[in-house]
Amino acid sequence: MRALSPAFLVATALFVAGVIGGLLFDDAPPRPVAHRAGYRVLEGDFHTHTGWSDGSLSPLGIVRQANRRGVDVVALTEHNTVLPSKAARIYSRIIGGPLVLTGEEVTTFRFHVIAIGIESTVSPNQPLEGVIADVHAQHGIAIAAHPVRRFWPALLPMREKLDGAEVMHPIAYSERGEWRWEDMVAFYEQSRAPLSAIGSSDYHWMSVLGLCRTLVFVREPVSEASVLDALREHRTVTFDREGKAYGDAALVAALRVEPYTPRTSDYAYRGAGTADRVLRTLGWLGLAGMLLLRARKR
Amino acid sequence: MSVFSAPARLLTSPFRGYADLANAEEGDGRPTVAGGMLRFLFVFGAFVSLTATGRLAPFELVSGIISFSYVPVLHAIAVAIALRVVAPEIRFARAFALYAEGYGPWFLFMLAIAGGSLFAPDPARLLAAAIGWMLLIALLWGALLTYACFRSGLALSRQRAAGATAVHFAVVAVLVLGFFLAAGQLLPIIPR
Repeated sequence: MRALSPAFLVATALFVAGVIGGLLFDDAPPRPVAHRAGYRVLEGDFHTHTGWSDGSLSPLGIVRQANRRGVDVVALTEHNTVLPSKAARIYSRIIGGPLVLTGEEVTTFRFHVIAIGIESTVSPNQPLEGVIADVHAQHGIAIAAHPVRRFWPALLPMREKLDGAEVMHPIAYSERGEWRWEDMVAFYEQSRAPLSAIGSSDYHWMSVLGLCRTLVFVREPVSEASVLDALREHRTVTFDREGKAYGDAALVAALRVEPYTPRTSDYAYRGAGTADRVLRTLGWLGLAGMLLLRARKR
Repeated sequence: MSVFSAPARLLTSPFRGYADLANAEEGDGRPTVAGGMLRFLFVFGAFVSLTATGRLAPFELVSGIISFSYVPVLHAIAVAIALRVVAPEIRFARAFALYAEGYGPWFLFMLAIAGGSLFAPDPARLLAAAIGWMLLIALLWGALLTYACFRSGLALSRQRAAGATAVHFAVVAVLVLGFFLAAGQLLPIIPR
């Protein structure tokens, strides 16, 4: 067997430098305790996916990403199954990570509904009314996922039976075709019954978990039950790209008096400084070199 | 002999590259099944880590490798079935070892996405605009390499190589759709 080529060794060293950077700088923002209007304020993302369907991270990875992005409470909502969220909850409890709510995105051609706080998978093979009833029978929360106009025929007749609706979603950053963010806002604002205003990242891949997030105003002590209660009682606020608040009027007013700034809500990868940026660049170059250069000496 | 790796050489000259690989002596760049699978998973893990965290975070790297370990297995099944249907006389291990050298287009795709995520001033806008095209290019380029693997690497006739390529892609499609069907994620989204 021939020895490794010098160029390949250099590439490997660069890659290792990148891994060292990944070890040293993979941090999470501090999560100071904050109160507004007599409630504890938590930052939540209630719509995330894993590699079980069309995401990239494992359930464990979602927990770590939520921590990395400064999210206090995350719901793992895989398409039509609750199973991955249970794995995430166990892992987060072990490592002392963010609060994990079990959940599912009940995904059909006619509607998508986020079901959180459930323990058994809710069947998508039934009308929306049955889905909502099944979620509520498990004391869960039913939220209209990205309620753009194409889902309105199914969603509108049942809107007032839902607990919440996504108002902020990455659609607001990259509208395409019939997926218009303005329709989501209209769906929320035209409801005759109060709905929890939800901001969710619909996380599949890249860094953007928590890009759109929900401020949840919970009673202490903080628990999964207290978060679900807050969602059920519509104690939420979310912000659009211009900083306009949607949600419970009293809470929005309280935030005007004493504003609250979410910890992170951008697309950018957080860098811990020059060394971090240099090491991640070296790591990427090393990976490219390891793939493109011949490993063995001629 | 080139300074470039076999996957890199195959990108620019798939037919000659596969003919060279097929004639390589043992220990002299001759591909192996384990080597090809591990390299693919290593890149996939790095891709998951870089795109999610912006870094080579060891946990995400390893969990990406584990989470997506089914992908090369799925390809191996597809190659095995393609051989069974089109060229049963060819040994699977030899065929798949050659096949796994042809992941170059997907390596470039993952490197480009990871690089865009790290270095573009507005990665979301860039990737939203480019990812469809990049995926299409990787898919077509990958299909060409799969054909070249069967044609030059395994010395099949044009017709048999095309048949093996078609069977391979059909099996991959059936397996992927079969998973989503079994997971209850496919039927509910079909208009009825």
